[in-house]
Amino acid sequence: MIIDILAGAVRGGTSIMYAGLGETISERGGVINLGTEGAMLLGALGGYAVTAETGNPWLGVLGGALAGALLSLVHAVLVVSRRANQFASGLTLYFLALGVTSLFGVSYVSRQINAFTPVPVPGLSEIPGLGPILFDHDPLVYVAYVAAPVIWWVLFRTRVGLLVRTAGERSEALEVNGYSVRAVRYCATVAGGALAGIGGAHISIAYANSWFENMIAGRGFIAVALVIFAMWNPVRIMAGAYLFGAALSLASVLQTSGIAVNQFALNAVPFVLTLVVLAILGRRTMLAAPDELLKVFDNSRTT
Amino acid sequence: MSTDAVARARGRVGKPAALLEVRSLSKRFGEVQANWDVDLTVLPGTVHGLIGENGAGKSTLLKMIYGVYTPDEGRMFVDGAPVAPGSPADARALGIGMVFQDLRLVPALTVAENIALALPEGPRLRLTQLAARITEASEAYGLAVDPSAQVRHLSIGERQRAEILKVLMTGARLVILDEPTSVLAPQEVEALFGVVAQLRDRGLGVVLVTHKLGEVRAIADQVTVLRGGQVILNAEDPGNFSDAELVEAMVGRRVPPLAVERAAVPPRDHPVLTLAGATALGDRGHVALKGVDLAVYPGELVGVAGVAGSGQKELCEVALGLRPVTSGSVDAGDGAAVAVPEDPVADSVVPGLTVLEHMVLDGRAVPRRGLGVDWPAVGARTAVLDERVGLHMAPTRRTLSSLSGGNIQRVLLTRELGQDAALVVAAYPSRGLDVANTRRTQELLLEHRARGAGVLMVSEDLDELIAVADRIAVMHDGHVVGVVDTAGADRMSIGRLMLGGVA
Repeated sequence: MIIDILAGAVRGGTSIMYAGLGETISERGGVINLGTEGAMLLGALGGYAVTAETGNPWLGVLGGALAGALLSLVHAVLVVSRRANQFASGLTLYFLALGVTSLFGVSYVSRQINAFTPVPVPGLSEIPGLGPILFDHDPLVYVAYVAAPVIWWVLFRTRVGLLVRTAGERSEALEVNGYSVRAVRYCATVAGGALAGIGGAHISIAYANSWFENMIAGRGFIAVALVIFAMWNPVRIMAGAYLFGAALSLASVLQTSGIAVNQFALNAVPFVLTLVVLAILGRRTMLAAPDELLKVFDNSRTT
Repeated sequence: MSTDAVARARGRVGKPAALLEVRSLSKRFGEVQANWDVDLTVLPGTVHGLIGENGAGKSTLLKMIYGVYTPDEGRMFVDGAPVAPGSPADARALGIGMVFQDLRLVPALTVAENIALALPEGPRLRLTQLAARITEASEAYGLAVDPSAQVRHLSIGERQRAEILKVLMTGARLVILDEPTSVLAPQEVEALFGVVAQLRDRGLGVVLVTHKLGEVRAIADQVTVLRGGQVILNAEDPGNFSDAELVEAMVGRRVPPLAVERAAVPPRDHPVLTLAGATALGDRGHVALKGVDLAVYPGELVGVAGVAGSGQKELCEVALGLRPVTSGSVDAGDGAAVAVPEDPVADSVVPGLTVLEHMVLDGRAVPRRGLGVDWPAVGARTAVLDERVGLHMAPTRRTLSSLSGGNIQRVLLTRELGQDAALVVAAYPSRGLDVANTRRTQELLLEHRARGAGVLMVSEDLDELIAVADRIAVMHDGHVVGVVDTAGADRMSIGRLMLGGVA
């Protein structure tokens, strides 16, 4: 059962991880995107629709990424160009995405697709314990293994990453050195949305293999909270995402093994966990917060 | 560079081409003629001191040289060739580097990352390689700094060295230092001047902007004094001038020495402010004030010295009850307290309200008429106050937030220092003020002291503190590391305390 829970943690945490990595990039660049949940919803529907129409789940991933990127582009226009309040814009976009996906998703409810299937890694999946936990999953899970360290490397070892971090820490330092804060923030926000979209697509075309209304069920909001716990570090996002994945998988594993626990109580576990972590860490995480984000938190300003 | 420009540059026989030559530069902002017909020449291997009061046009001139503003009229030459930098990047490409007063480094990044940001290099950050180059350059110029340290953890002096290194590594041949010493301890100033001398010896040009005349005399080869946007004095060898002569050039008239009779401090028995083991957190949640013991007695002026960010702000806020202590105690008695905040714009200015409206925001009883405020009475009261304080506030109908920093400061100083109080807490009271108003502010603080108030005054100008304070509490890293009697105090030993050493 432990192995089931842990394997479920990896599978269930993957979507949160993509969204968390995306939000990390966005916030490192100085933009908080509460619309992450919405970008995941659009990604889930976009991914499902493209997979249904083309029969190719990889094209579905692309569709999901584009859908998430599109929503975040709107966010970027509002908060970077128009300097609108980041919280208001993000929340509004979430509700917009919820409505849009409910409306246009109707025709995909209960439609069959050619979903991702688990691809056991030859050899590695045979390892007792570790094999089923880590190496018997759909391809997007494996991509995520690589994505976290790669995003860490890009953020901390490349010029692009340096520009993103500078945009989030002290944007005028970019201007002084002849870069455009606006361009960097647009790129970071849109890239973040694309990753959230992939996370959403993972839910619909690899995890649940179906589309239904509001199927993200708060994972996007958990991802936003996770970014804070992980102190804006992609590698910690990975660990945190699997922790939340475990909380999510607990419900289904307990159910299948015949232990009767109230379904609604189990669904609340990830959110209770979020509150507990927030309470424990308190203000401490804010020491690691990018300075420009503190401006957003403290004054609800977006400059 | 066009060929005829080269020819023209070569045509000047006998004189080495100036690194930078500015001819008849003028710049106007609306009604204000910020610069008028300004000339400035910096030869290679020289240090050029640029002095002037706030608002004299120094920063306008620098910003035109650095490509931030475009001059309305006039011409600039680098190495004899005409140039018109349209952006800081253009200026840097011409070899002009600027070390800003507020230091533009990103605190969360390392020194190497900050320098990488300024260097036009490839998509991958080769930080190890870059660190080696930084170490090499820092040894060559005597600018010790750890490339892998996060800027957040560096002292102001180290940050400044990193910033200078950055400017040098981007290929600057003309280094402009904008008020570099205002935040440094005396020892750090000496070290900085060592670096400046070395830059000069290597044939670079240095423009040193300052308001400390002693520094200009000590290190500059040439001096230019700006007043009202115009060059008032341009001379070689400023060492030949006296302080009084340079001040007169800056201010336009003689400034008499501080003229307040200073009575001896009465016996110290009932303090107006007592801090015992006061510990408090800063805005980021770190411990910013660490077990501070300090008492301020009636009839004395206690100065607070320290390099910027050593806990001065938190000390003032704790003294005023604005910031809670996490341990220890604060007792500010029952008497009235007045205060000038460290960041007036953030702490005391209500956007949209006029100067007059701000005059009733100090907690005193407000003249009433019916249910409303009796504004004519407030206006009359304010006029009397302005007359008595003598800092000449802006018209009371102006919106306070639209005024310049110095004018905002004068309004707040008038409101706060114009009333009687048992405790006066003044953080950087003379910030943004010209020489005459600075002098008047010091007199006001001394008048409070003479009336028996206890005055706590933070300043980054050690000379100012030595001139007006009875005792100086020196802060370092959140601690008060020593309290020095001003009589017979020695700058260097205060400086050692500021840097965390022992006196």
